[in-house]
Amino acid sequence: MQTTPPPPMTIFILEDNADRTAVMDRLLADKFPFYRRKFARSAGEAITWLTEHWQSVVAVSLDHDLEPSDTDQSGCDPGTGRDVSDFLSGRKADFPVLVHTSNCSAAVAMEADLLDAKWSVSRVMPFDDLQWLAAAWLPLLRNVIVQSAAHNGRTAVPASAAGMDHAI
Amino acid sequence: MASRRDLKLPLDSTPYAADPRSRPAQAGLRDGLYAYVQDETGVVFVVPDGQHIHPKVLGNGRPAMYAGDLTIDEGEISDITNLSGTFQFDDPDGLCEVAEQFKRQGLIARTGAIRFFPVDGGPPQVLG
Repeated sequence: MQTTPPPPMTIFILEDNADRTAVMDRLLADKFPFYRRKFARSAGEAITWLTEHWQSVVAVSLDHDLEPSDTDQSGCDPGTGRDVSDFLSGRKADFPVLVHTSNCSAAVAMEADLLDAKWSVSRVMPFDDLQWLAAAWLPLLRNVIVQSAAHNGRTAVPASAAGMDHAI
Repeated sequence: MASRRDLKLPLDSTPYAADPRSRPAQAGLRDGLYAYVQDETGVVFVVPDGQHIHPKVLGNGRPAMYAGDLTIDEGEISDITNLSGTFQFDDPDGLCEVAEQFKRQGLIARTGAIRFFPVDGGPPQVLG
């Protein structure tokens, strides 16, 4: 009897700014060539994706303030990063979380909620336009993922299931 | 002396000049995150980590015996990995051997510091 292979591991990012996501994608491809990257623009999209792919998540990074997409004519509220941190707080802490938002009070609240729920949380404050992504965000994300190895009991993913399409 | 392993060319074949900060790893390295590349002779070179830095550690499109990154904390290696989008080494034994080479060059890896990222996209593994 054949078993379904575990899904490939993915770094999940909640971010609505296209300039930021472009830089994040390039940095992650260079640092983590064996992992997939998934970006969501809204809290609803994030929660849906995380619910369906929970076992494949290696780390999450959350923005807070989200603007509606220019191409979205539905007028749907994109929600906030707090919606996603609330969702995570109600579940088992299975991977590290970064909070990356300029909204300081929201970042503090998200971090506190997640810490109360026993999550491993780190916070980075954006600065200098996009410079913080390479200077602070990526090193912090790298460290939390590397450190998560010590606490990781999940099994390796077969090569056939790996997402190599983003490797440089 | 490092054992001879297969060499890999950088996936980005641009002949970048070597970063002027690139130097053989040795005791006394300041705390921080570094990119490393092991050259054809087995010597490990390091540079403070940065954007797309691996092809510039040896420079000129030179091949590598192994590559990744590491953290120095209080003069010791607190973690060492095979993370490099430029070289993408996928051999766990090679990572253990490069940790031994660091030791020969004066930098000790702490117990549990060797963190391997499988090519299949699986979770990171502690090798030793």
